[in-house]
Amino acid sequence: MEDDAMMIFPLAQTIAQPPDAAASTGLFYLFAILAGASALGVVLSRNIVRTAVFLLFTLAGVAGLYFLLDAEFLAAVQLVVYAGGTLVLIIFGVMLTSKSPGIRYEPKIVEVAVAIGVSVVVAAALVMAIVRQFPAEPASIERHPTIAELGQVLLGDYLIPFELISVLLLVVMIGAAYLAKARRRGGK
Amino acid sequence: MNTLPVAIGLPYVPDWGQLRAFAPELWLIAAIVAVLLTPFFVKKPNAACGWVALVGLLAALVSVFVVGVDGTGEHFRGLMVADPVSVFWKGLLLMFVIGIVLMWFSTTAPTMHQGDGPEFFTLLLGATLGMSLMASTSNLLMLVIAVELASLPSYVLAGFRKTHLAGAEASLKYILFGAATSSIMVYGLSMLYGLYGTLQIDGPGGLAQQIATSGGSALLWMAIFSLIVGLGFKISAVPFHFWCPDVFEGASIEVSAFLSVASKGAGLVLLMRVMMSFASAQAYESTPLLNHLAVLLGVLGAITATVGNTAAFVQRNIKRLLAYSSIAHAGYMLCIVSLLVRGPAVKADLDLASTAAQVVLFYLAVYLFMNLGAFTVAGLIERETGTERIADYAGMGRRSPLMAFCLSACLFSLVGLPPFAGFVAKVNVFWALMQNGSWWWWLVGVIGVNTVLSLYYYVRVIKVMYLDDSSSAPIWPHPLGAGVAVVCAAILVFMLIAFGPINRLAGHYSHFYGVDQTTFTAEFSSSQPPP
Amino acid sequence: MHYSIVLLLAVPIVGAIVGALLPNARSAKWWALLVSVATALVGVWMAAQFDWNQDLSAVPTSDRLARSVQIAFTPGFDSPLHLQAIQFSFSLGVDSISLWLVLMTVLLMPVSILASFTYIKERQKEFYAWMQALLAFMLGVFVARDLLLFYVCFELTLIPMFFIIGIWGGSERRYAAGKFFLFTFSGSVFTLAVVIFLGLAAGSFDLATVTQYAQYDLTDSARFWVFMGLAAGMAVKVPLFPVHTWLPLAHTEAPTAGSVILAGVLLKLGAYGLLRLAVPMGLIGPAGLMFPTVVKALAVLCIIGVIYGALVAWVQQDIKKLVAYSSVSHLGFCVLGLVALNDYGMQGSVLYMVNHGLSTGAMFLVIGMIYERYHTRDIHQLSGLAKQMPIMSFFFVFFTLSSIGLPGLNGYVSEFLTILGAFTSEHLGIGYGIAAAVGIILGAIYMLHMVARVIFGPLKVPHVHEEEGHKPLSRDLNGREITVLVPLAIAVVLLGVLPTPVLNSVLEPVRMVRQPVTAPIVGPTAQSPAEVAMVQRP
Repeated sequence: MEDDAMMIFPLAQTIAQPPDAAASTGLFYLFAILAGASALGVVLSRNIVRTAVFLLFTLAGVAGLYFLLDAEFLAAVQLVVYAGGTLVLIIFGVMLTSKSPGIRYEPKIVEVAVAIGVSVVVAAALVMAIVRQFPAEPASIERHPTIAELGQVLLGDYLIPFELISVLLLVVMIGAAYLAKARRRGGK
Repeated sequence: MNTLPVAIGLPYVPDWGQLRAFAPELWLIAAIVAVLLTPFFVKKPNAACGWVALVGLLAALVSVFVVGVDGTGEHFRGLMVADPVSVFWKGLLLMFVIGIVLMWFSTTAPTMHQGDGPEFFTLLLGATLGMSLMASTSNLLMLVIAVELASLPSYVLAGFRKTHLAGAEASLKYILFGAATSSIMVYGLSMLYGLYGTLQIDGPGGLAQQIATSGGSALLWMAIFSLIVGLGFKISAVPFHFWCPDVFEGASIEVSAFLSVASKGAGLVLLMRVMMSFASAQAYESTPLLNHLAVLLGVLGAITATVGNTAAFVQRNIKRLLAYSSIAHAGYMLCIVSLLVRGPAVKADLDLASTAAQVVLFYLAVYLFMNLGAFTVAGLIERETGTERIADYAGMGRRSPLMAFCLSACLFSLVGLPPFAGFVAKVNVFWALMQNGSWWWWLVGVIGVNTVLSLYYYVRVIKVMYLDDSSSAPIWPHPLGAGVAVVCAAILVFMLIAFGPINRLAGHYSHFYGVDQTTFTAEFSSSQPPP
Repeated sequence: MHYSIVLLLAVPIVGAIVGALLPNARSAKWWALLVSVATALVGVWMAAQFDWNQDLSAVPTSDRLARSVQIAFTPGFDSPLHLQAIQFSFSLGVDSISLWLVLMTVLLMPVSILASFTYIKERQKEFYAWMQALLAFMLGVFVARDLLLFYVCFELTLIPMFFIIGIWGGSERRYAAGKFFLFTFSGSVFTLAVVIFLGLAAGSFDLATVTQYAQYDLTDSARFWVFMGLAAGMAVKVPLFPVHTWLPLAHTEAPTAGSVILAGVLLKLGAYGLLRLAVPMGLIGPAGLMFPTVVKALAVLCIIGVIYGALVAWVQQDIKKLVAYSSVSHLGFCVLGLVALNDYGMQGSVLYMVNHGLSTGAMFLVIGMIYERYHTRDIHQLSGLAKQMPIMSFFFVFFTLSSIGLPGLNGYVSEFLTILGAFTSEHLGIGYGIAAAVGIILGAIYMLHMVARVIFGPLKVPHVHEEEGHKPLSRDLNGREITVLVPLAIAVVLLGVLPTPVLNSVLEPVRMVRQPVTAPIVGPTAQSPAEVAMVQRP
């Protein structure tokens, strides 16, 4: 039993030790730049497969940040589900459905201007907000949750959302199936 | 690691007392399952699924009446609340969705591909479930789930007519908009969690209280903006309204009708609850946060109403016209929501806070019938003549006097002319705004000007129906749909006489749990449904 | 409680519903006539019940409006609008001002229905149903003793009139109907805002309570805005000068009956609203008149309307349009007398409302009869009709003279009194009177100009192709048409030679309009002290 548990959390065992502060800061910037730069790549890349690969790096960078925050379970899930599963699915989908990968959307100059304007305003607001907030005490959130605790919380305090998400997934699955089915029927 | 099995305590099993308050939702989930199972038992499942959904909705509606406000309070360890407002909204919503299903029978049913019914009703009921949950949560996690549960099926519903190019385009636009706004909302909510370390909005130690004690901060404002973006999308407040006309035009008519009332109503009720929590946690003091919030919502409402009405001017398609009209009405209601968070006036009289909620609830009740009636008539006419162009309604006064009358009643009511319920709703709006004086007078002026603007395009439709000649043949609408339209028109006419009881009902149910505790315990502690 | 006043509204409403369900057009028109005559009889019955000789001066002014309501019906609704105990009641009553207007309305309605028998050829059932509904709503405005009820009826008149103009009107009917609706509605939205504000502030919609509240408890700036809001809705309806542009179009395009009712009654709703609401609630404070400048401005607008309307009427080619512009001019006199705010002016103004309804209504009827025969109203295409239609010509000249204000006919008295009012008014004066008198001369010029062209001179009529399927009308007026005009002619003469009963009966009520209430009101809709305390809580 103990061995199993140990095998489940090998990462947790190592990361849970408070890492050296300097190393931690360095890793933070590394992951943050990885995530941010790849996100830019997602937006700027013209090739959809490259976009997908950039997305992978973004997700991996975010997962790294989770590790640094001691949210190792979340990080693992992020890697396994998003990077491992969803992204592969996306690439599959792109390969199988996109008849003309070169298709490009040409935004009008006005749209570009509006988009840039909104982005700049939002970014400026965020930066200002964060800078003002900066020397604030971080909220005291309990750390180092184990999977057992997570499971307990999911089936305890958060039982209802957990169950409702299953309904949500069911309904959305039906919807997705419908869309796929309709396409096969050869509508316009 | 030996402690691991010990740490796993008993699983949490909610007791019947908690579940009872959410009987309508349980019925909806049961109906979803039943709809999915139906095709295994019948050959042609479309109509059968319609009936099953109808039965499920009726059962849910009955359970709303049976349970009533008995279950008022927090449930499921504080994740959900049941209170009079949510009960009122669920009653309205279920009534409305029943109307939508009836409308489906009389408009889209014959043209729907056999075998698509189960999917359609699963999605419809799923969205309904989400919208009813939206009204009874004060927890950020539940809020996100409820909003997604309302949104995701709606995206598919909007593009349900696969053979319809505009429908697919509308659906795509809807998805992109929805995805962007809900990701912004989740981002903002995560900031709230980061700032205050809790997901609960009200209650001791909840967000609202922490905000009250710590005051505002720039990040808090970012979070609130994001919340308003997410809910504004559901309400279709300007500038998050771009999806609305396209989706209404592209979707089949009962889906448009559904989104026009249910989506907006749910968003408004949720917004009201959050804003009420903020305001009551600050004891309705005139704090900068509340004042700014009130101004923000008021300005948003004024802009929404104005943009909706001016854009409706140039519409040639009845569904687009109704889409912009629904944007305008959402604006009026947003103006009222701004009252919930105002400062000193409410403090003098806590009743006033619920007056604003009452006005919105009454407005929603009236708005429901106006829109259901108008969309039903438009759908019936589209079914008979295949057109959505307003110009093709020429001579409708002669070709189908009943339909023309019902549509006129609904449109006059949307303007807010006296014999119809819309007048009372608008009087209430004016009344509530004036009661607060100060800068709300500006909103009175804006709504007044908007009413004049709206008259022009609503009456244009009536003009075409009655004053333009046409040699087209008379049409005979589907009796079921005609029944729905007539009932709506009749309710609108008679509500001028009967508005007292309905308004009182709205007043009686205009209390949020955990917000206006004093009025609340006095009225509902006996767990008696209102007379 | 007097049932006559309830019947007055119930008869036409029930009539409209029944009329819409009748099987054929023929029964619908006779039914409409029957209903309107029945309503007229109810009106007469009400007048008979009315205590004309009541000495209002002996009554304490505290009872003011409440006292002047001699026939009242106020069933108690338990504050149906649950918002802050808003007191809306279905409260009805008349004083002598409203009673005269009611009588004029119930007289005009049967004759315009009778005049439509051959004019309206399609969708007859609808037409007559709308006419009866319109009758009920117009009467509702005159007998309402509750501000919200007043507003509801005031707005409700729009819908029937919109359809009457839009469906049965002339070639430009759609545009005219839309413009009419939009203009009047735009104005009255502001009125609605003020109505709700007053109801909210006074804690009741009862006219007497609201009036008293407005006079004593409003700040000056609030009172100013109250007046502007109330006047906005009424000025469009009257219509006063800058907002009159809907009127000529609507009058010209409307079918005959529509024009008659529009000119005869709907315009009076505006003037009546000014008299009943705008002046006592917006202009009168505890110390009497509050805003002399506003009154002057209003008077100037009236005079511009008088002169401008007359000048524009002069150059019209279409006789119906000419009469329509004459309405702009005439209503200018009417409101001028009203804002003179003295006995002469206000008595004259009330009388003017009645007289204008009768004579202009009759003018539209005669013009409709001409139009039915020749399908034109062009002043250049018609000439010397006296040779072909002597009876018609008699009535035409007769009502023209009444409209101009020939002594001995009704128009003279009221025109004279309103101008006298302007001359003797405290805050207007001789300049206003002279300017208005110019309008009288212009009025005579354009009217006689038209009569000279159309009735006299060499005979000239257009060639008319009779429509198939309809019996052509006789060359001169037939019995039905004479029946339509005679009652109006009698009323015109009666009011011309015996205006005194009208003037005397309205003297006290118009004085009350311009005097502040002096003490709390105890009337039929007054509340118990407990209720008062409740609605006045901060």
